[in-house]
Amino acid sequence: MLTSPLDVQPPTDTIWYGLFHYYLFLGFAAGTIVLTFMVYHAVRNREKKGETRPAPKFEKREGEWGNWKGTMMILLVTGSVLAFVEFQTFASTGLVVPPRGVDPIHIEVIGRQWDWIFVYPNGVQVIGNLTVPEGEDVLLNVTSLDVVHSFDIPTLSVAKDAVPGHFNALWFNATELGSYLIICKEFCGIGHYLMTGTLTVLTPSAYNQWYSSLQAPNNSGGGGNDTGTAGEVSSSNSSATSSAGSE
Amino acid sequence: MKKTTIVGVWFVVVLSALAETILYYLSPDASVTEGVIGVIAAGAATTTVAFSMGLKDEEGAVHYMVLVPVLLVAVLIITMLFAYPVNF
Amino acid sequence: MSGWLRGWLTTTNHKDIGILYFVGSLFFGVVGAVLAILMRVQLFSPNNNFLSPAAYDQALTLHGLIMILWFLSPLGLAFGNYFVPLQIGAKDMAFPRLNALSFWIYLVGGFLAILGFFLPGGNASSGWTVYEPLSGSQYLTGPGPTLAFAGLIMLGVSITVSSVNILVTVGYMRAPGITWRKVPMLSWFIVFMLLQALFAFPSLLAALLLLESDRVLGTFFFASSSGGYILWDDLFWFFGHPEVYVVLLPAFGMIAEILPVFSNRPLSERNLILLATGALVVPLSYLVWEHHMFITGIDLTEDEAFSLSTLLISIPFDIIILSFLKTLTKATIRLSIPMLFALGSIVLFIIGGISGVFLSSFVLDVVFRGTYFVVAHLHYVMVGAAIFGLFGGLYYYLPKLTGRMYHEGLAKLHFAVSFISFNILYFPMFFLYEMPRRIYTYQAFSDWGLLNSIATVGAFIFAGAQILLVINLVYTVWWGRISLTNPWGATTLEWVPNIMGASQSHEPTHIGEAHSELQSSRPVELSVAIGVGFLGVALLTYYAWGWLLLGLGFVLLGYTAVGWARDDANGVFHIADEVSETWPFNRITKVRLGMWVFIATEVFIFGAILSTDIFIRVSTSSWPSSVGIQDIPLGLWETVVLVTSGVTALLALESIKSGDRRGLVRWLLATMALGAVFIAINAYEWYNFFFVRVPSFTWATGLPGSTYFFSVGLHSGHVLAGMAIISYLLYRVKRGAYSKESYSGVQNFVLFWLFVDVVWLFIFPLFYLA
Repeated sequence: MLTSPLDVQPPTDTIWYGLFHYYLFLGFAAGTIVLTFMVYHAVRNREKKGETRPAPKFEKREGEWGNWKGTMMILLVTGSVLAFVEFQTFASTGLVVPPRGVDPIHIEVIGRQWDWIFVYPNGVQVIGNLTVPEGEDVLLNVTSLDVVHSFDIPTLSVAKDAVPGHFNALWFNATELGSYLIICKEFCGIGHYLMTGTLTVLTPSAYNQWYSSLQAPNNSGGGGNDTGTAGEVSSSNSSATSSAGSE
Repeated sequence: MKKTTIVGVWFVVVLSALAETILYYLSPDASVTEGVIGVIAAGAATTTVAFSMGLKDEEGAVHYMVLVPVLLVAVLIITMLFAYPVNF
Repeated sequence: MSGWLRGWLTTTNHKDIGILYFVGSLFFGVVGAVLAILMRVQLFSPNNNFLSPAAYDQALTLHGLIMILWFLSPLGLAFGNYFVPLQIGAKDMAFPRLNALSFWIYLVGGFLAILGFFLPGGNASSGWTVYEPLSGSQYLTGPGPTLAFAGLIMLGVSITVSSVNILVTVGYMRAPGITWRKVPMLSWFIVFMLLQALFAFPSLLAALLLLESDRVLGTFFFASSSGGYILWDDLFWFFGHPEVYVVLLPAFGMIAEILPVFSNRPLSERNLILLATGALVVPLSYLVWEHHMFITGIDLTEDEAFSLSTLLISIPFDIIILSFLKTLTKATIRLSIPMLFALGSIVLFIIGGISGVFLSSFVLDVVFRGTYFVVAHLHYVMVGAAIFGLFGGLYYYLPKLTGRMYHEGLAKLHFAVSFISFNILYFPMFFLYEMPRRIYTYQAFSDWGLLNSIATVGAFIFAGAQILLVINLVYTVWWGRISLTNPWGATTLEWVPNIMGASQSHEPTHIGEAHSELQSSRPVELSVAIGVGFLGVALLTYYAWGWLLLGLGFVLLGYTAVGWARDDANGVFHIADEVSETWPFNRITKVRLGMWVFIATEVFIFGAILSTDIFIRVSTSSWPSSVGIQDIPLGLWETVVLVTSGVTALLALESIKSGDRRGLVRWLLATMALGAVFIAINAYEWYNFFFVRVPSFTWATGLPGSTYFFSVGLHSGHVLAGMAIISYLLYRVKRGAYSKESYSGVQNFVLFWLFVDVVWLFIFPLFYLA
């Protein structure tokens, strides 16, 4: 998987997996119960060769409306389970709504066939490399220059569509140093599979160093990267990027 | 269908169109005006459908059949218009 | 032309058309499966280059389109065509020629879609969801995609016509004594399926017409950055969600037929199933579509609302599955082939359905959306539940279709291998919930290789297993043991021989022979004409001779229309237009009912287009006032002219109702003249816009132009169609049709004409007064 086992789970990852486990457990339980019921009765009531069983007696109500009260009771149970998980979903909107009361680092993300371009607060553009400090909230405003893309950092369980003409917000807080893969998960043309990037998480001091030496805007290496060199660690205008290759 | 009905609907629709135009010239481009114009148009349309097309004489099932797409269009347009966050 | 071929090309008999749909959909199923195998080979290992990226992208797009729209949906219609009239005791469909027309339009449309592969630039490669702006002419160049989308338009028309046809048939033509309560489950579920399709496909048609307008005419509906992408998303998924139930419900109908027969007991809680499907699934299916758009950036409130509605829609499915399973209790179960497939379908639906609940959460969807988790879910429900259910139905009805029994051993092998390999193919995909969809290849580091390899192996086995089905079908037809009339001991009407004449005969369609008393070549001619015309449209921005083809299409269209009119005048297909007195349509005649259902679909299409116009206007920051562009007095004159033409049309109807043929002709001519005046004013306005006004105002100058010209153009097209219908009516009058007793043709024309008037009543204020 792309999820590396992290010692400390990022907040977004925690929210997502917490919710996922509710659905997983309850879904598994429901599926097991229903399938067991089904297989049990299908096997138990099999017609055995040569055996004639008397036709079962049905009260009139068993056919058309059946034991609808019993069905309603079961629905009450399943309805409650569904309501419960939905409630948990609503309680997890922290994944998609940036936390209040904090001042995140604002970075703009521009998707274009087939690169991710990151615009840092000082206006410098970097292709393919998103560098952030550890433990700080980061707010990304994602947009696109051409078609619809989808900005995705699988390890942090965050994603949002990059659409032309609008900015969509997503946030995260990286709690582990290292390099993580960024991908595009909305089909955007022939180079879709090559539209990757790297998230680099530095210590706050290393980040400050890197950020202050981030140069003024100049030509990004290679112009329009249409044939897919975007996945490599970009040897672009940002200098002291300390991380190794993508994961 | 009575001749009076046919001519009556004609008057309703033509007068509605005239009313819409006058309203527009009085205060073009105000949202409220556009809303009122829309309501008048809907009224004229409903009159035509009910009387000229004879929907009022058809049975209830046919009424529902024509009402359903109207409702679905309403759902579609409301969802489309509210897609964007208010503080975009 | 040999009699055999001619018979099949001109048949209008519902059983023949059912067979045609079976063969057609299985053919497209094979094409889609081949594309899938190509994809799976490419994805077998990381950094593979078995296909080129361009080829892979085309394969994935057409795999989706062909499988969902040309294989699964029509397969349900195959069952509907063959068995619904038998089950309700009707002699044939309500409108037999339209039924044939549906099939041929579907088939020609499918050929157009496949033809796209062979045009320069290849076929559509945008994914089956055709998201914008990727599928506009800027990013998806070439005539191939335009042609494929035209084929899709034809498919949309085909299914809409079928919906009108079969719904009127079931509403109207049930034999005496077949009340709604006695209608069998398959027919009920086909009705539900078509209630979904009835308003879903008009949304797709509106979206495709706007898309082709962008591609061919250069309008900006989806290309603009004022929310073009979300406009497509809304229109497409408004269709897309009900569509998945169109695919699923026939399979549920088959399961509902099979379970009681092979459990030796009545279907448990049958009425509850019907209530849950009709009152909950069908309406709710139109209210959940935005769960396909959770992370596109729409407002959080909409995300929450649609997450709730999606959760709600799982409840009726709980009821249905529960009832299915309760049928297994207190039962004596025969695990015959149809039953095995039905049970297999339920198992796979449970897995697929539960994964759907995961996807209803807009928070979980952040990770799952656009990944193979969704691919797993959709294949479990669309292939697992739907195909296993429909294959069960195919085996179940094979004795009825062919008069012979299939080979039991082959069928058992088919089921076992299919069921196991299906899970080998798709279950691993649940674990690939971080692997994006539609990627050409993936890197080695991602350790997705093993799971993908397993899936590919499963794919080969699964595809191979279907060959067993084909072999079994051939075997059954030529060498199968002659079977009993009712080998399963079923109790529904289609199994009873010789009740009401030829239709009910247990004698199957003689394999190889169409047997329709009423033959017409017009459906296939009309479909070819439309196909040629669309081919011309797709090509004309690339080759000049595309115009020739378009012209040829119109010529063929005219030839067919004249032929159709003459057939009508000769009384070949006279439909006795009586009142049926069956609830809920006690007073309305069959043809008028069909007209109202058709008008309902047109209400939706125009409603969607006008919603588009309003949406674009609201999301565009600066919109010119109409005063600077439109000539409002001219618009008023157009309104008056059109409304007056409605009056003359009504007077024509009143004339023939009192037997006055001369009055009919007089008022019809007046209507035609007023229509011509309307078109003339319209043409004059457009002439001014193109050639007089500086700068000129065309559909390609911006969004105001796009919305105005498309909407008014579509409306005027309907006016011209109405005028063509008037010519038809006048021709018929000349040949002696219509009288005081029989004037339904005129009445239906008047309904259509007035509807077109009503649409103008919205267009006028929207474009002239805003």
